[in-house]
Amino acid sequence: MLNHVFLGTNDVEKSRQFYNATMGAIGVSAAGEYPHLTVYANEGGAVAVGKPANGEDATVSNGATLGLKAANYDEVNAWHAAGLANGGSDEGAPGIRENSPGRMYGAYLRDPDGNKICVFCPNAEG
Amino acid sequence: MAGIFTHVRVGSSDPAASIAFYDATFAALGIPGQHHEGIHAMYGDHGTGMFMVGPPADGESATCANGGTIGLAAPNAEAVHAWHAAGMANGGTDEGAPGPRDYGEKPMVGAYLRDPVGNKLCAFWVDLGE
Repeated sequence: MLNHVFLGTNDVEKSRQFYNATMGAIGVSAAGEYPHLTVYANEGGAVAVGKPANGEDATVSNGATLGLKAANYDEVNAWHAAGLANGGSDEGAPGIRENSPGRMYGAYLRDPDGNKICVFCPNAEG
Repeated sequence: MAGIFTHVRVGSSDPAASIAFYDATFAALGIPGQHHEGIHAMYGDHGTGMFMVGPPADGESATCANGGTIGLAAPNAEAVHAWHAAGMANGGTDEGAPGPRDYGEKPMVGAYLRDPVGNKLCAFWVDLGE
């Protein structure tokens, strides 16, 4: 159903450092690096981070969140730590999210531009 | 765990308008929705990733991003046209009429809309030759 998500940035190099580190932590590598854009993809879809097409500054949405899959708790923890070490800010430490389907384990960050993102993996207790 | 997305969420300060828009547009893609208390809605399943809409968690007004786009997969070219028409009839605004897009090696048909809040969306069918 979801094919791709495009996030805006005002600093391609800074966002590339952040997303190379965080996407790497969940096993997704950069499929394409361009002057205005970086694309991350696996068989399930693509995340592109780049300059807005209209040439205006990138702005973030209030109310929007992008959720990505992690394989296990270690990946969620590594993703959050990698984000904090590469220009991101904390929006929720790694832990069980009681209101998520199946009590998943997740964590939240904002990227260097302020886009809100999270990763979730299944609860290890099944 | 296959895939990359668990979910994408967009904000809305007018959930009734947004839910009407997303009910109509996701129906055009053959994707049913579930409503929760009339102010949140979700579409899709965990396998392919879910789409959610509702008020921002911080209680402030919903705003849309500049530079953000959510791309949806359509099952065929007709669904791309139906998705765009359903959006235009339910509070959306045109950001690109349905038609062929030359974005890669494979033939594709795409269309763009903004939802009632202004969130930018597109729907694409890619001809994989299957």
